[in-house]
Amino acid sequence: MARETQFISDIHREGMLHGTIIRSPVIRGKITSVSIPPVPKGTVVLTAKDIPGSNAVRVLQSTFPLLTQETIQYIGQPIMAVFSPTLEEAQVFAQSISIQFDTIPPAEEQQAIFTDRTVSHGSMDESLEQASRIIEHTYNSLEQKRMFTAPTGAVTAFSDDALIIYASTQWPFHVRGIVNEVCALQKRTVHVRTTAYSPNYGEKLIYPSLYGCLTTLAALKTGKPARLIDKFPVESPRITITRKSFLDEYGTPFAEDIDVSADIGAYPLFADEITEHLRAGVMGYIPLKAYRIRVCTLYSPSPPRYHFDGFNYAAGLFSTEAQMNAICSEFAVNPAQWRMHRYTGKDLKLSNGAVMKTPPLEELINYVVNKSDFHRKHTASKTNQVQRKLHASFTGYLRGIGIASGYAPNGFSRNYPWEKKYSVAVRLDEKNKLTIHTSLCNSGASYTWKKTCNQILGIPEEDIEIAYGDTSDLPNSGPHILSRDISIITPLIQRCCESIKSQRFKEPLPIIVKRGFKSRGHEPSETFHEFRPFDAACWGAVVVELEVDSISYMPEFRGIWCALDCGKIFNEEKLRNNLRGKLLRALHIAVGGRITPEYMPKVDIHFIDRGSSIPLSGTQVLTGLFSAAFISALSQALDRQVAKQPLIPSDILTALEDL
Amino acid sequence: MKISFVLNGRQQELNCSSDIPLLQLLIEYTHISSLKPGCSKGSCGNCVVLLDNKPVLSCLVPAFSVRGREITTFEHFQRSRDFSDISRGFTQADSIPCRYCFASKVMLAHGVISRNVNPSIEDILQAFSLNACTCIEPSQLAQGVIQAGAFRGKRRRYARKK
Repeated sequence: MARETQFISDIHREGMLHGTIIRSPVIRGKITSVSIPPVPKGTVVLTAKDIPGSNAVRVLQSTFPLLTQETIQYIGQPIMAVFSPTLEEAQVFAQSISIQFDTIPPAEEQQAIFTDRTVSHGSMDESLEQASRIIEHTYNSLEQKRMFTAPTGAVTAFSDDALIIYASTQWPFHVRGIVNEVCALQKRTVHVRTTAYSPNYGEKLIYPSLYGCLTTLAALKTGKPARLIDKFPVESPRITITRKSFLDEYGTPFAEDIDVSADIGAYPLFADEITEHLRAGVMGYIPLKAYRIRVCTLYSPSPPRYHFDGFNYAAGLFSTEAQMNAICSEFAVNPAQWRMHRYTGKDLKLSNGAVMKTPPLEELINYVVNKSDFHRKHTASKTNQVQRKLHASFTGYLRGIGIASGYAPNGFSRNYPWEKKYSVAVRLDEKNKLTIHTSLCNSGASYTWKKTCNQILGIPEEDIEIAYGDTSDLPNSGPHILSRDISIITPLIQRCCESIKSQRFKEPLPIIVKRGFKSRGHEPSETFHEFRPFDAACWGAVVVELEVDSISYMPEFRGIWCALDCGKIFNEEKLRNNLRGKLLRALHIAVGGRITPEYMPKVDIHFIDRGSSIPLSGTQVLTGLFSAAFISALSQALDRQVAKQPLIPSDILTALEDL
Repeated sequence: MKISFVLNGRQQELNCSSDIPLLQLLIEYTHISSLKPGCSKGSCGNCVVLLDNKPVLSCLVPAFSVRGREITTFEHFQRSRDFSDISRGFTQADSIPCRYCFASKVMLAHGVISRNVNPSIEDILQAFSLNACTCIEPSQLAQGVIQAGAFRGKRRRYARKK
């Protein structure tokens, strides 16, 4: 129960300055004049002119300005920063600064497109002629507001000949790189130490780099340590997916036309990754003769978005599974049986024709179907629907059950040039103690890492530790997103341990082994037809049963059953508890607000064991499948297709009034 | 204004503005680090302290209202035997909250089992609705609190026998 690691808000230094950011109050515009009153002693004001290096925060291939000099791209864009001995003084002085703007109507720019990529195969015109029926639905994943998390910020302090930046970051080497570029410093003079940052929802991926630059600029200008903690609200992208399925007379889709648009804010951060993840998410498991998938990332005058549990793969998966359930509903067939008819067999062909080797779908679906008594409940709810139609006054008993199954990837979609640098190191010392060196030292996966080392080398877990340090003494293991800590870092640690095992008792101690990571990688658009998604995939199936409360119009969950293939599992109960927490967050989002105790469902999570040697993260698959199963259950309960998330009681009331 | 109160067993007298909340008083004047200033409006629930041994959200309590009262923060509470009941209960039920909400959830758990060492799940969930962190599933958390209550009850019975 040790809680020794500090949060950024716990770090205090003698004479430390506290910072605040002056943000744009207008959505779009140009700064015409800035009036700064006489600056009090001890206070420092930072503008774009004070940046000695490049005024650009680089994220993969795109950049955005640290402090804008002239053009305002979104409401809340940073313009200046004020640092004072106390936060109150900084805030009071920031309020006294007057900035004049010429506003530009945002509507002019709203439809601007960052990226627009289409992949197609076969003839859509022929498919249109051959189709017995076409089913079209639009699925909306609305923006999710950030929930309450650990503070986001940075502290810059001086240490001998170096600058130490404490940052609540998921990507410490990004902070170092950006600070060097912005402040025009040498790499070796900046050390970044990660503070505790959990829980987080992806918002600590890039924002701490921004804050680290500002605190470093303030520290360099004044010679004093500086701290900046920011609570600026950010949201996840808004995703709209329109799916047109061309069906034969038996209800089997043979062609699909899919349009995806993702509003990702004012700058195209991670636009390529978002495109790839969405494209993989919307791709179903039924081989198609023809398809066209168009994914656009759109500009909107809003801050760079954060990414809840990945780059929106879950939103794509949600639409795929919800569309399958809509097809089943139209043809009045049991969705579990419909899936089983199409998934049997050893290998599974994806919609683009790529083959996934022996997915465990049959076993997963069978488990959740049997455990939830799906067939009986689905039929009972169907009968109830008919009863409602016959007797219009019969309004109670709005009950439904939904199923979803599929996979979700772990890791980035492709090989980036800088990915070759990612590595971990393991050291066995003279006292037979093992130390794991990785820049993801804040990861919750440390339990899995220790267990992995323990199993390979037989070293007791109490003699294994994760090295805490900074960017000067830890290897660069990349960003802590997309479950990389589980699916990529664990195999690297495994390889290090195996190498130590072969050298142990032959070579003198200490033995230090370093292993690097290289993604399987592909060029997305060109080889999409052979494209097997990502480095690893976790399969799952979820059933959700619910009843809509006839007074509050809140969905009351009667049960959630999940079956997952999470690869190698060291402690089932621990993983189950972890995934329950993730499911709770997904549930929280699905109903658009806080879950009160009476809405808490019973959750059954089952894992299948296929003798895999690598652990996989089930977070994304659980989130995406839960959303799809939830929407399907709700659609059955309301007897109409619902196609958006989150859903609030007024949406349900509107759906009921339309009946 | 001058406010005198007992903080973590020690008498304190602080000179502060009359309109600040207790959270600000504790962070700025006493440098208590277990409190996590999140929303400052009672939504996040990461600033729980014990006011006369009852858990309260310190961001919603005006500083002037604590005059003459006793405040216990997690820093002091974690050295008590009451904490060890909760620590053991959470560990045994494998329901350890994240580091960010840990202090507040411990204080809320103490509030529940101080009233009743055999709390119902509804009582527990009701008490924990003050904290919005979803790091742990409520039913699992409830198991941890029930275990903690059992340890507290056992300890009390043992103390009475002595």
